[in-house]
Amino acid sequence: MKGIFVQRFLLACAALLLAANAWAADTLLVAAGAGYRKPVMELLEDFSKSSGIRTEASFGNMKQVETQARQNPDISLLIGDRAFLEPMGRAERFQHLGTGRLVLVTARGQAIASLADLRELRFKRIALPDRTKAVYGNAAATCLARLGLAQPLAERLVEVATVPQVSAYVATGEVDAGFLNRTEALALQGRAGAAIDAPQDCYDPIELSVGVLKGRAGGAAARAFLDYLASPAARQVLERHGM
Amino acid sequence: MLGCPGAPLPLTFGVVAWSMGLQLVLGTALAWLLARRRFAGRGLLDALVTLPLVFPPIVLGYGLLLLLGRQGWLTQWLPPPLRPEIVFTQTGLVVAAFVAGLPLMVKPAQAAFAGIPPRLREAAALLGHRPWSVFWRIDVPLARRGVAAGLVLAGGRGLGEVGLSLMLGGNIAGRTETLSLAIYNHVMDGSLACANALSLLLAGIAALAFFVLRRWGAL
Repeated sequence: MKGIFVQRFLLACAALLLAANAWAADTLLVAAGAGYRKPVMELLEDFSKSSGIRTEASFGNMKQVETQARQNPDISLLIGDRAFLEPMGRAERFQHLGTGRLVLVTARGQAIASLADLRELRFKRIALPDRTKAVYGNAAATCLARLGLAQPLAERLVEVATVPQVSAYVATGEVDAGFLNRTEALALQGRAGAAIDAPQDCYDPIELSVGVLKGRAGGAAARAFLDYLASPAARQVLERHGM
Repeated sequence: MLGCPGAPLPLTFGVVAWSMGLQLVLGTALAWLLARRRFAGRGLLDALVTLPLVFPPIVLGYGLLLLLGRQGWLTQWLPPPLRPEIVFTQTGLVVAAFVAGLPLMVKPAQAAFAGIPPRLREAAALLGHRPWSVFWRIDVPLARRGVAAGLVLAGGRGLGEVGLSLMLGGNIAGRTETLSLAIYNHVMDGSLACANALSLLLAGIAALAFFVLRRWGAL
């Protein structure tokens, strides 16, 4: 009697484990640029609630995102600047999400009228994300170069890894100004000084896209998320975050 | 070395050298103080010195950032021209390595000083030696193994420092990217060849330190 009970118990456990494995396969794993952490987390949460599919995300600059995509076979979607994602050659198609905007935010107590004001010595430290690995670092470097500010500011630039890092240093006053995206600039309101948009012609347009990785499992969950992104609910979230 | 950026090497060795210099002077002084003198607040000082041993490095680093940053609780009392630039600089890294290694320096040295029989010092004093002379001629020679072991331990700890260095240094490539942080960055970027090379270098130095400590009977 006891033997049969144990046998059935073990069978039930095995069945549960196999089922759990199937559930796990229905998780959506996304790797995104760190500057989009807030909107992406909100979108994934909203999507999870409405579809019941578990979602997970990891964030970093574009280079870190690429490494993640290469090393983790469970990641099915990448979110970032199409100009960075496309050369990676890992996505089979892209879906447009919005347009990225470069913004300069100053620390509390510092006013600014235009980017040329950065020449003033009161801006002792100016933070920007990594200029080769981050979307907005690249845009910021391009913008400074085109405005002829790259040389005068060279000594005062503090290059960190990601947009949220720039945001943290601006908020704590460790730097006098920082280059961010509109999303993070909005999140900083009330904790920082002034914010100005960088002129459109000083950097190459940033097309935010979702890249669908080739040959990954979890295709159904990924497709469902892409459908969700086209919905009005998703559009609202994106607009609220300045995308 | 395999085309990896070389900036972390001189920076790291500079930082470790400076922090070990500070350990030797301040660490030995603190160890001597804790071993020899009873004073009000001794318990507190002992606790503060031992804190980095058990406290999470990231939390400690964040705390130091709050204390020593531009709007830091300690630095904001100084007039602006005198405020030191600590965050994002090599100074911040030296502070990080020093704080991380302090308990490892002080504890062995303190034990070494406390282990010197008092009658030797008393004998020296009776023979006419001033306290400073007693220190250099009795304390230092007898405690040198403990002090040296502490120094090697603290140096090793400073070499591997990540949490505090991240907070105070900011991990800025070419400026505050130490060897340990460089390994982290290379892994995150997928440059595994560089990560491997630097890891082997750090592991080699650590192994060397280990054998030296073994030889001195400290481990």
